[in-house]
Amino acid sequence: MAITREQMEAIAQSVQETQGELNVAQNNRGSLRAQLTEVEFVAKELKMLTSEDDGRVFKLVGPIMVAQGLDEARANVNTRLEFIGAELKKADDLVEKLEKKSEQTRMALLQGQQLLMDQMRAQGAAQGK
Amino acid sequence: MAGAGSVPLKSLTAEQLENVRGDLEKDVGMLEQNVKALAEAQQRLVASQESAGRMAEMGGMAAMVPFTDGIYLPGKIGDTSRLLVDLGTGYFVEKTPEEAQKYFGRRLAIVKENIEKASGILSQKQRNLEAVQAVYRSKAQDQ
Repeated sequence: MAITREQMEAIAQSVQETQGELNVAQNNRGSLRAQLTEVEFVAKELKMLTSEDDGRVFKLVGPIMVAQGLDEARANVNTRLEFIGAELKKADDLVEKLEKKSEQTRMALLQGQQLLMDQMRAQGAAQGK
Repeated sequence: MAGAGSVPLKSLTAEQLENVRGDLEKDVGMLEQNVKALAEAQQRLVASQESAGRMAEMGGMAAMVPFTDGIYLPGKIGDTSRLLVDLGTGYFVEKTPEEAQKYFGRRLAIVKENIEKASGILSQKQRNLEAVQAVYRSKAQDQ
């Protein structure tokens, strides 16, 4: 089974592309994790407030600070938590998928390199005769 | 990770060692940045906490209030019994100065924990990096 230079280049290309995709996916996931932590913290703090008497809650919407009821604020934050949680799960799955793909492309590269070396050696032996 | 995790360092080629060294250097750089950012956050939180502590004595004080970039207007600090505290993600809540101080204390505890974790990993990576560099040097000498 011969392997051409073109095929090797194609494999090397796919290794780099997959690595690039993996990095992007990992960064995205990292950023989602950070967001989740931040929102979880806000949820905890809101939970600690026993009533409106403890202090009013405000939400910054663009340049406007809007007063929000405690229940509504809690509900909104929980919705956000669920949303980010779902996005994080998707991101985790994508990273896992790309990690496997990256592993496969690297394997293919190694195999290709091995084949190439064997070929070169065979050619060298044939020419030597 | 003394010496080896799953692969003994000595068995790697010079090229592989270079790769591992490069990766470790990147990790160390990133961790150092993280620790620095955390330390800055810690300083800001401590400043906020101290400010909250001084609120009681500041009520009614004269102050220069930033109006625009470069223009300040004379003003007076009003009622300091309620402070608006930034929770994150756009949420703010009113708190008394005492509650605000406690809040900042909670935030500081988390930041401190993160600093300790990051510093721990950083030290470990630095040790790994030194180990790799040592093996690399000895290999270079053997040749």
